[in-house]
Amino acid sequence: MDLATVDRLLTTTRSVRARLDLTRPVPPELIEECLEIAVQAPQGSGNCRYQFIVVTDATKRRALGDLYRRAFVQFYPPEAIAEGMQTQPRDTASWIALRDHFEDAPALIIACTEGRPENRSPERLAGLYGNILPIAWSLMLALRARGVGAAWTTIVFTYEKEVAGILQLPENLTTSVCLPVAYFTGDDFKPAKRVPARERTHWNTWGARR
Amino acid sequence: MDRATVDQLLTTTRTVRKRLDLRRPVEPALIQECLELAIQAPNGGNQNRYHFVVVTDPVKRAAIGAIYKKVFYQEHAPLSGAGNPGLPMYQQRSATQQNSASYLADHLGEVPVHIIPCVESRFETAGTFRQATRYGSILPAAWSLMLALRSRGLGTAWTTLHLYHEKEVAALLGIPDDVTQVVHLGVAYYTGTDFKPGPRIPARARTYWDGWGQRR
Repeated sequence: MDLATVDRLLTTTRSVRARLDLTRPVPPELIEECLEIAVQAPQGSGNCRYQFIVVTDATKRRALGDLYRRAFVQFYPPEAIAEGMQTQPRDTASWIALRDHFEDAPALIIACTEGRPENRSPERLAGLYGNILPIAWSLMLALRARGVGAAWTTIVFTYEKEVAGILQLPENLTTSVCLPVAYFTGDDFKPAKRVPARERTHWNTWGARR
Repeated sequence: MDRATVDQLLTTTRTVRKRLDLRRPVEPALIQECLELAIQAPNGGNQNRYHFVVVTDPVKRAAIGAIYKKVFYQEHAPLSGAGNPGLPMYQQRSATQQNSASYLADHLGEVPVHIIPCVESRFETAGTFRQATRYGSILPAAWSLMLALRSRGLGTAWTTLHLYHEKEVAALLGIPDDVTQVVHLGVAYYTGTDFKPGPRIPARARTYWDGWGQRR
């Protein structure tokens, strides 16, 4: 397996917000192709509890965009945005770009799993989310390999019931992530600034370094 | 980007159990290299709440293995394919799968490297937004880790059964109370050279356009 490709894929697939090409349609067949690849991610007991909603309808995208903005202002009130423009201007500008154009992405993909999280033991809760989030990440990786960017978002689920209402989702479903997707502009991405994993890796005992 | 490599990686990285080479040591530096790749996966607000506990100590691995075995044989009530009863592909593979699962239960302690990805904070009683955000800040990294390991010849078994006794494992490894364990990855070199895609319900049968139940 070509390690250079693998490493580039894993380290430069980023949430794309400001570089989404909002004018270029994404073929539905391409989304379907990537979904088939994505469902190969592991899942508990092979239960295949995944469900996907792809939203291309402009009215529904707009309704989801309105919910996204309602949630956004709670997490990023104007004073936080002003501070962010000073401390991390690039990231903050990209969040604003997504806030203002959420519904302009040609497709919003919502990854769901059958089952509800309420009253679950830790094992069952980890199983619930563990059955769908690796798939969602694989989807983002597969899209990226085809020139399509995605932003990993969850804040719209502060209005989970409203989202379910717009999409007529059954009650036994849990929404896990909403990906606005579009072709990205430019041709490359850099790795993100992260706390190095070695500072967060504990060998045999919490806090012990190698 | 070489699409064939990407697609092969994403469709043939499977949970490995019976093909884990329990005798071949795994270099710690290789684990660390893969972890550095893995944390490039997205995480909520770039808050970097990830932690990874890597267990190589044989006594601690054996202790985790014993907990896992106890859960597997005595405490876990499997959903028995409850999500999809009656699907022929599950009935056909159930014997093989069960065999592979019990093999792991019998040998988990011998797997040379155990990795437990964790995320800061507790959120079991939080709403779905917070849960999805927290799990979403660690599970993509855990899956990236498995992909990175695979590209280097290492197989991984993705399991959550040890979480039945999360506190016991936390005590064994000194994991603080305000940290959540999300999965257990048993890691070893794999034997053989290739893997096939797993049986799945096609995504197209589970994809709806613009509203529940609507096909394209």
